[in-house]
Amino acid sequence: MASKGNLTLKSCNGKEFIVEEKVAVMSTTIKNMVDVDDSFAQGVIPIIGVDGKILAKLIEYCKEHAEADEDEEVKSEEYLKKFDEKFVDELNLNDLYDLLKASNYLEITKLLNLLCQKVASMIKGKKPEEIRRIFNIKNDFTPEEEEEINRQNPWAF
Amino acid sequence: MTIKEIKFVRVAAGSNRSIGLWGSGDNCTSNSRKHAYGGRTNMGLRQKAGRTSATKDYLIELPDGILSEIISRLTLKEAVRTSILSKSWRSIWTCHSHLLFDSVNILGNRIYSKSISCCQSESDRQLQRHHFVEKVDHLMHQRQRGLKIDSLAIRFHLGQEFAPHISEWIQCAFGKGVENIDVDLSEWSSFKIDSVPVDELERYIVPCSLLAASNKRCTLKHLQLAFCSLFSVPSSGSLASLISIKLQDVNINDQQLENFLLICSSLEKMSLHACNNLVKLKFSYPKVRLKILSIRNCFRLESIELGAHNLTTFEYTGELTTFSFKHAPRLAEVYLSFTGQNRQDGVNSALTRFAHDIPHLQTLNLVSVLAMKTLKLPNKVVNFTNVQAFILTVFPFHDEDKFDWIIYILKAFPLLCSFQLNLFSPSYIRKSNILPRHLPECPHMHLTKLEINGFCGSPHEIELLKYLLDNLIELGELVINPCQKVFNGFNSWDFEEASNSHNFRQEVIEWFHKFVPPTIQLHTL
Repeated sequence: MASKGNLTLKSCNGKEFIVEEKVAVMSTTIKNMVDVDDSFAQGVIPIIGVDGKILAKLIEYCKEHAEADEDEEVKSEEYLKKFDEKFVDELNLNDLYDLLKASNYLEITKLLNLLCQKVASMIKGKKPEEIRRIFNIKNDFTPEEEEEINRQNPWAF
Repeated sequence: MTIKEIKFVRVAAGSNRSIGLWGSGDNCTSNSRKHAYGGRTNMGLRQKAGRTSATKDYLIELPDGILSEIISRLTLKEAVRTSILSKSWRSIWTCHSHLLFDSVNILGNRIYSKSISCCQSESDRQLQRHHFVEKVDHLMHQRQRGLKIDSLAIRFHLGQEFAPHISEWIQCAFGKGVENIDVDLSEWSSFKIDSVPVDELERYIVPCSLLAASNKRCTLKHLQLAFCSLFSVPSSGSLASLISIKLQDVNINDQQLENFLLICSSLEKMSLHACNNLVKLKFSYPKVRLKILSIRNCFRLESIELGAHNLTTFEYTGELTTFSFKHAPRLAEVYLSFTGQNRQDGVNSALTRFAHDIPHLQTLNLVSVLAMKTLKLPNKVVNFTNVQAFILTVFPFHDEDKFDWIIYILKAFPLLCSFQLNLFSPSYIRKSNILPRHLPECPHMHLTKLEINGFCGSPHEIELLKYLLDNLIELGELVINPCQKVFNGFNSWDFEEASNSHNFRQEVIEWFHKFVPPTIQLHTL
């Protein structure tokens, strides 16, 4: 049982995390729940569909940002920027996808934006071949079809 | 912007209440990936082929909302290029929600590069216009299939000739819940303007039906129009969702603007720039909720009657006209920059008459161009008892300035808390010797913060600072910046870029140490 001011989040594979409420409510979804009925705060909140590893990552991110929101002196904008950069750089592709989905449905807007920006930067300025390689995309077009696409929007290619 | 796919499920399990947050799939994401989100039905944009093949493209399996967020962070061109990746990616780009159609994006032109030379002929331009319209038509046709359009920007020199096309693009955007529309059809949106005047295009007339038709489920929040005509404003209907509007070089007259405001019941911010059909402006309709109004260089304006009850901020650049602030009880922030021959009278009025006219004025931001030297300030000082912040830009600040204005200000603004001086000192010195200035003592008991920008350390600047230090009894914070600061409107400022020449000379730094009392927090940037 979490003490007052803390919430217990449970991952789909049974891992429990006790986190401060201010950290947990970085997720709008959790915030809405707690706001609606504070008895939710007493029990365990299962975050179904998110495993322990990803949940730990989410909490790591929210912790830094919740603390920064509270005290700008300790964690400056610059510090956060560096933290964000390091955070996304260390993710492998699978974690990136899982975090995207998790931050989307837990409505952690800041993180979702950060991750979307990361994926976009992986696409930006690259040739189609490179993009396919990065994201394991199989080119299933015939040369004729490819030519047709080129013809449709020639200005873009 | 996040896409809710949560179901709140309350499970009564014994005495322990447990609440589940359910993602779109119910399994762990990392282990059984194929199934985790496979249950989603929102596959509108992709072709099934991609799903059943053995490809491990997990990116495409992300919910549409996330994909749209990602795609929208690319340029339109980069987004369209993703259609070549695979069959599943064929139409993903159409969820790009920010459509920017300009010369760079659509024609691949670099504005002002050699490819568009200044001596470009009108026939070349016309050819480019046709190319542009054809491509945007084609794109919008494909885009019809896609999701919501957040913003639509059209920036190309087009006239009424292409009206059916332009209107159709806007119509399509309206149909997809567009929130921002920015249409700039001026010549310099796409071409380098040469000195030889060319025949002006007949302006695009924004059709009445376009605005009226949007009233069913209007989502438009921000509208920007440049180089077009708003002749036919619908007399009924509403653009109730519109929050801000910016008209630049738009043909609209007093009556048409009034009609337009009547259908915009939520409008809070309006900017009118070089709209030269406006003569007598009135904002005296009870329905108007306008909070921020900016008027710049509408050179035929004769009078402005500010009757908007909610108006808090007013920014004006242009010639001195007849102002009436009678019915703007909430007006607290005013920016004034007068141009033309009467600019001196303008500065004078701002420093005298407006004290009575705007009783709740808190922040006065005044630009004086070539006026300080000849300013005739009254001997009987008017009191601005409400003004707490004063921002004064002095252009230019000459070494032969007599400082009459600073004495006046210290007397006229007794409750001022914060004073910002933006100086533009010419680099030449007219008088080799320091002028004998006889400055009376004017102790000021409220001013706590002083900021001076464009301070190079010339003798007359030092003298001004010394005078202020001697008279500002309660000063606690002093900011001195050698870079010049320029107001951009709507609370935004530009600093001139710092360079080596902007470092304070050693003797200036020593001066600071010697003359700024230790009780004052000094920031030199």
